[in-house]
Amino acid sequence: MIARLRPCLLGLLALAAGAEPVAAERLIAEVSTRRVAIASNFSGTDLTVFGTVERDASTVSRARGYDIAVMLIGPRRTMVTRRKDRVLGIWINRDWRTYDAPSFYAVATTKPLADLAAEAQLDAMQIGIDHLILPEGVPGGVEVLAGAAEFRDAFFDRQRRAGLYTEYPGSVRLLGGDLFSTTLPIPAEVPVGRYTARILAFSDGSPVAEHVSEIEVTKIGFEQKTADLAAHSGVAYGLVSVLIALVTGWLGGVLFRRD
Amino acid sequence: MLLYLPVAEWPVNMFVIFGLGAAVGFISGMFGVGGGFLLTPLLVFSGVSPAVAVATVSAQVVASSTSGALSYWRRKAIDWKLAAWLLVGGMVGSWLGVRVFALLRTAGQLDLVVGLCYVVFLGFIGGFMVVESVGAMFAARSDRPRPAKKLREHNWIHGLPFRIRFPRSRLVISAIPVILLGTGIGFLGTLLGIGGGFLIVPAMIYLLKVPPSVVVGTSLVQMVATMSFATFLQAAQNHTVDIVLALLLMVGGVIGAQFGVQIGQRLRGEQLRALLGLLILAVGLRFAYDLVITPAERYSVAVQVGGVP
Repeated sequence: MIARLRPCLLGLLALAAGAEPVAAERLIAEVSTRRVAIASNFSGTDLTVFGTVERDASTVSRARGYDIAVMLIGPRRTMVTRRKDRVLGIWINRDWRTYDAPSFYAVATTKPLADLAAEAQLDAMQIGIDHLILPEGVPGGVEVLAGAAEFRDAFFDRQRRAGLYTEYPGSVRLLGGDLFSTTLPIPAEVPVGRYTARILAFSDGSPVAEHVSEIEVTKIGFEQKTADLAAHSGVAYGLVSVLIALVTGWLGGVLFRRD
Repeated sequence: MLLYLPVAEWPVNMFVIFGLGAAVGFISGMFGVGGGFLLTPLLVFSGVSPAVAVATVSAQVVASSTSGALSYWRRKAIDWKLAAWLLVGGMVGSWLGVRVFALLRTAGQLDLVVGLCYVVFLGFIGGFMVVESVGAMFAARSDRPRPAKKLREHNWIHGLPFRIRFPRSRLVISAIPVILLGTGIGFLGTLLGIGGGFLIVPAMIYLLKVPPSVVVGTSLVQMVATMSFATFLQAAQNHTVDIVLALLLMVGGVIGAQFGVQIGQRLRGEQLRALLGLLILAVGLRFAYDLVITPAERYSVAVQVGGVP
């Protein structure tokens, strides 16, 4: 069976290879750290990404050089966006939408997104906040892809203002040759989890090479132990918390005894 | 100095939180209240999520009530039997409170219900205290002897069945109102992140007719026990107790309380009650204001917890 399929499979592979543009360029990139450690004094940090576009003999010469987009994408979470409405004079959360969205998204580019590639291209590659694809949940449990713009806009607006969704057009510097570098600020409120650094090289508005790195944002030491205990051993954590409270209160009573 | 809170996942200025704890501790020492009703809103206003604030303050209330309870214990001003019966209700109420808390959080209505409860209870108690103490001040000024209140006069509550003797309070009373009172305080305390001293003390005096000499000590003991249980449940079920935040608040609170007590001793009873009443009223009004005025931001974003909202 397998023997009979083999020529077939080979044919398919050849077809697939032929359909792709001849990927002669290679994007080589490195991030300054693969692990962002959150300790008690964590107040945000920077992630530096640098790299180069490597060509070989078969590469067509690019008259206008390359454009680079660097994205840092946080773990996806289901986030609820709620809208307050006035009911009997009181503002109450009524309507809502959920979004299955990255908890963090930062993109740095060599030039404004509009000049980088066509809208359709940006949509397809999810480059830029407005081009992210967010599956939406609506009351009643139906999931739709293109939902109410009102909630989507509000969601992006809140995330932007919280510093969790950011765009840095023009912040990728070309250092001569095909060498590039950029620095993405990571705020103190960054969600923990597995991040992806996605780097794309464009030429004349089309992507020519891609590189993906995994980055872990994690609490370390005391913060990690405490958070782990709180999340996974609630009973033990609860007992310890009560004990600490009782001892602190008792110490306070003894130290400042007034009678 | 910024300090990263492991459970709240939020960096805070250590000195701001410490100062917050000390300021609330000062007020609680001055008036002899727990201060949870001030601390929870202040934490929320400074950016901590209501879920973490409510649960963490319950741990802080344990600490601040413990030092008070110890002092009353040394003076033997505690009715242990009454405290135990109140705790039976308190545990049931606290368990209910944690469940309702989780449900409201999932539904996105926690802030609303907490806000409404604050408006109703703080407005009611604060208003009552202001009216009562201002009346007392005028009575004192006009030099008219006030009619002595018959505190021990029995009411309908004392006619209920399942009567129990509380020798320390020299009281024979039905178990029903005692357990119900404990349940109510445990429920509200857990849901709102308050010790509930400003609710239980008047209730014990006016409803149960407990002698004033043991009211405060006994209420503190029941607060320590009920809020310990609440802290444990919040940690075990909702995972929202941030012990680093709680510890900062506790230490600040214990120190602040010492200075508050000294100021409080210089003020007269009616003045103290009027000031506390105004403070409680002000917090209630602040919540009412937030509920009624058009919010600057109608939309809010939160990571979804516990299934479909």
